[in-house]
Amino acid sequence: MPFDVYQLRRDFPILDIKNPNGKPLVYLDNAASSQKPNSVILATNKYYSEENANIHRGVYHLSQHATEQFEKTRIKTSNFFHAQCAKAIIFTRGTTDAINLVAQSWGRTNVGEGDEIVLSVQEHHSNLVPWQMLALEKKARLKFIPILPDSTYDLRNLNEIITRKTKIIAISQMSNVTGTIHDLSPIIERARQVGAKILVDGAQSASHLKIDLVGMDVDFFAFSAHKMLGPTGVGVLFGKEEILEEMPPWLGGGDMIESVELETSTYANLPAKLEAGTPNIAGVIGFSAALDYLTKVGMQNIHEHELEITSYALEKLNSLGGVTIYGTEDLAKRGGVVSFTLDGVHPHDVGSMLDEEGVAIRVGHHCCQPLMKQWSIPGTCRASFYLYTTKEEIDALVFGLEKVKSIFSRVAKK
Amino acid sequence: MHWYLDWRKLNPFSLVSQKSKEQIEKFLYWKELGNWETSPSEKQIVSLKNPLCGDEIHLALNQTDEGIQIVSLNGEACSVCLAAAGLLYSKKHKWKEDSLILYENQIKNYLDGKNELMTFPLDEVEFWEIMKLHPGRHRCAFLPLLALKKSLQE
Repeated sequence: MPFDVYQLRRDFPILDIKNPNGKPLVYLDNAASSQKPNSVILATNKYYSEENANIHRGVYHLSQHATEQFEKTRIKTSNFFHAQCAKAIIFTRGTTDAINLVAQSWGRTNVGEGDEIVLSVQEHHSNLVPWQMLALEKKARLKFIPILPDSTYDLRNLNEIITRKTKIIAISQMSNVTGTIHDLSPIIERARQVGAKILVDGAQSASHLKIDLVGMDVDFFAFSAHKMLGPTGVGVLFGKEEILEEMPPWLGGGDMIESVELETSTYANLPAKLEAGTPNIAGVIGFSAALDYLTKVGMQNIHEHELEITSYALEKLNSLGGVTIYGTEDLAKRGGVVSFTLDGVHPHDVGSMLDEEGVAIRVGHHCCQPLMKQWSIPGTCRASFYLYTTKEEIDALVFGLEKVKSIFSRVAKK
Repeated sequence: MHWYLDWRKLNPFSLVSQKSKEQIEKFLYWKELGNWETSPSEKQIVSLKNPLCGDEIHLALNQTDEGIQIVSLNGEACSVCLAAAGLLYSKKHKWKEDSLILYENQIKNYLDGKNELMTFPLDEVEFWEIMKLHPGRHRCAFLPLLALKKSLQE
């Protein structure tokens, strides 16, 4: 289908709203969460109004229909990401939940005293804190891949960082702060040399890049539905089937058992073993509609559109003056995220003043406090784009920033 | 015609930006009510970080039997947090835990629409009036007060 951003925006009802000042919404916080097209909203509504029933255990039609919808989404997800098989797709509450599942299940079984867990210094807290907790419990050691000034991974000492003691490497494919897209192949190759497992935090990359999980040869891949047009409260953990098979359940309860006695239980097969309790059924069905929408538009089209928008945003921000942009200047290594600071103006003040203009950006540390510490700043302003972002919206951002600069310079002169 | 083409015809220095400018001016004025020192000499310094944004405020304190008084301020934070710190310093109050909790609750109730700030100085009333319009900035506004509370509870 030809990519027409203006046509496509009509599918997103929220993009028509205005803020209390009467300004149209310019939504540039897509790295935090994406907006939802009508098809996703309708699918979720339809489930609750026409299909609502619990899955897997009901013998009546409604439950069987809901189960079928839910399980079809698992197959669809597996195909969309070119995963090993549908059984390797575990539905979770989100990326954080998925990473915690690996840390608490695989990690507690396989990581011991003196073992090493390798992360990078620019990980989101959700791919840092779970490993800190595991390392503390198991007396394991955390090691970090540093970043270069352009925010790409510094792989010069990779062989010293990833060693035979390394049990797992948990690393993001695309930074939520800078939008830097990392080439993970040297890290995956090194992981294979030393027999370490590799988990990729795909919270950002899954929504912006075409992902081929079999081709990537990763052991785990975690992402959230809500960043890729789907509902909140749904995430996915992909794991290689043979690894998931060996993992003990993390949560116990309904749906994950084979049989239960008073003293003991046996567990169900994959994927149920790792999905205790009633899942977010409506969310998963909504996610199915999101995958259909993304398939219709095409991930390659989305990536190309974002490149164009990012290039335009970098050019406009650079020409503004007094703006520091973080991250690589190489567009080929960059997704639709731009982090910046405005000289002499705190990011929170920038965010609040842009909000009055209807421009929604994220300000603060973006759940990456260690990275902010490395840069010696408390936070940044982050504008992040998606398939429905227009150049006119970038103009609105720049226009808003001009006003912020103007106001602060007038105040400072007094 | 795309919506943005209509939108950009608006006067760039509209009422919104005039209001923003006035607010920023006030925030900076309130900040200046504080005694800002880069290297406070007092021994007792309490620091508190805003977990949402990483901003940090440091209060140098003097403790006597009458309570704890803020002697000077330091930190890197947004205009709201700096204004709140300046206003808190300007009270020159010797705080005890119960008086600070009462003060905090009066503000919280005001922000919840449960009471007015009848006994507060006008500057403070104006500051919290603005904050009422910006619920997303409440954490920034409360950071100095919470730092002080931390010192009283330690």
